[in-house]
Amino acid sequence: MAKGGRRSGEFVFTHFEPQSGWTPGWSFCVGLLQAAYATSSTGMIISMCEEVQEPSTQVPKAMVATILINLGAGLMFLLPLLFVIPDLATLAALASGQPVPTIIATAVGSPGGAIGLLIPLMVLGLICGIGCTTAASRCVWAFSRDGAIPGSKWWKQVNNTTALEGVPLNAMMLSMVVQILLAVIYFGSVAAYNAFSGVGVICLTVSYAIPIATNLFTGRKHVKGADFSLGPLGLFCNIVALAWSCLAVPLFCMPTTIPVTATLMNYASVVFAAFIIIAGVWYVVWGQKNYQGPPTHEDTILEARGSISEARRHSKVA
Amino acid sequence: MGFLTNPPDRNLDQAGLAAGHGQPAPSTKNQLTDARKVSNEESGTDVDESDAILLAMGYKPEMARNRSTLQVAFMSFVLASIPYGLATTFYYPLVGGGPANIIWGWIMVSLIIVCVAASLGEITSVYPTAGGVYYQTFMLAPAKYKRILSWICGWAYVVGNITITLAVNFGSALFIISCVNVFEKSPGVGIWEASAWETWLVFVAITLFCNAVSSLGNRWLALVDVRKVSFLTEITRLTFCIDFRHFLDSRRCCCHSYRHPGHGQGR
Repeated sequence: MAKGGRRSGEFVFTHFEPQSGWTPGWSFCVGLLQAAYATSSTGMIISMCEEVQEPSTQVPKAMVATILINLGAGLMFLLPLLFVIPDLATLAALASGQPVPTIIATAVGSPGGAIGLLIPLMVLGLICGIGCTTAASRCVWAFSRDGAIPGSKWWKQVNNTTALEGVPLNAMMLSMVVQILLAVIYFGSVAAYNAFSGVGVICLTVSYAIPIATNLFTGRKHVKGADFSLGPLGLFCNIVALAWSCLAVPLFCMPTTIPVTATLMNYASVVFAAFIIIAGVWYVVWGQKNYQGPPTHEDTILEARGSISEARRHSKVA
Repeated sequence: MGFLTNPPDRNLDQAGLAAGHGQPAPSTKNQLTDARKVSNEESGTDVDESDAILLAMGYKPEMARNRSTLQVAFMSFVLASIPYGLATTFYYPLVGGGPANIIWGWIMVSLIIVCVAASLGEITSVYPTAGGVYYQTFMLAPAKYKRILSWICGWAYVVGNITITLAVNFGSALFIISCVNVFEKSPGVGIWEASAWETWLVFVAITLFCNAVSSLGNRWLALVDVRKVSFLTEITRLTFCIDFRHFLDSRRCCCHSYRHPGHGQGR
């Protein structure tokens, strides 16, 4: 089957051959982007909190377990591919920028067999799209609920008809229309389109880093006694997470290869900077007056939590 | 991100704000409550507790709490779609450093992301709302910076969610096209040289499909996730494993290189 021959274990685990033009150390870091992209969805599942029965334990467990399972699944996917990988320079030169179909086609030797192996990946891509669509609709809905998005009145509606019960349909449609419009940029310039799609991971990384940093710098006092508590490990995890964010954001802004040309440049940094400036200015102009934040106070939540744990204790005694 | 530059519609948003605040009275529970009560009898009081905390966090429960731990775990699994995510971004470590970069990079980043997930999980277990990170930022931050920090975080989260969905669906379109092109009309030339228009149309079709499934299938989505994904991942894994084993079997000392990575035989 392996038409191109099989690679040695030494090659798979130790062969390091930078082709990006960057110095080897940084080139390695740019290579981390694959893993960084694949795991960037980590925090998106939080948007499903209001649709599970015990979010305070289920969602954290699901998040951490996913990463651990994925570590194994990822290795099971990558190792076989690397054992049959054809010439690296040829793959790097592919116009499509998608080496996997070529690797599989070369290894299997027949297009029919390759398609057989690729179909599960394509279907998985679609399912991933469905998951992302769902998470995105919930997050647009939730942010509208606090009045932060223009036209919140519409976007915060939750559908009540039988077929669509519990779906924030308007928020979902808003998100869909924005996506389709952004994709139109592809006609104008592929580099510009890439910048817009690349800015997603930067934004997500930043949005995860902000609460973690806030938590760390306010002395982690809110998470004491959390249902999902990390205990003394929490400090370590927070620091690692923030250090990673500090590395990942510049990484996501880097062009993959140098020397760069106008078309190969990564403009995500420009879009991201513009986004931060617009969000900041808009806050001063509009948000400061109109955005109150979530409609509650810390004390209310602590009280509710306290009375619930008290009720639990009572029911145990009884 | 064009929508960021739209002039905000003041009247609507103030109306939205007014409606959004001061609502968290227990009496505002909507008709979903009935369905919830029924499910409560089966599942104990967890739903009531979660809803009580949600009310205290300022929101009326509007969604159906119909997903189990396994189902959220699977949705989380779906969002990452590891084999797919690693396939479409294979180019980066390929030019970055090749095999060692791919394997060790993946292990390293996964372990780091465990820390990110655990840190977020710890905060989420205290403030579990659909708003997620921006709500948490608001609650955690010192009074002075609450609003500005949660504003920036919220927009980053929303823009991130939308653009990542765009990237995934557009990536799928490009991936499907390059998959079709494993069929070649002449060596090195695929059968489908998709124009920008065709690529965009494939993307739009995928987006419409995902939205249709996500909205129409909400009641069954959790179920679909579990069954299909476990099935598919198994298939993907099996096909690769069979493939893999085939290569190993074709060699006499099949597991040698695997056990002793440093002393593997040449190709």
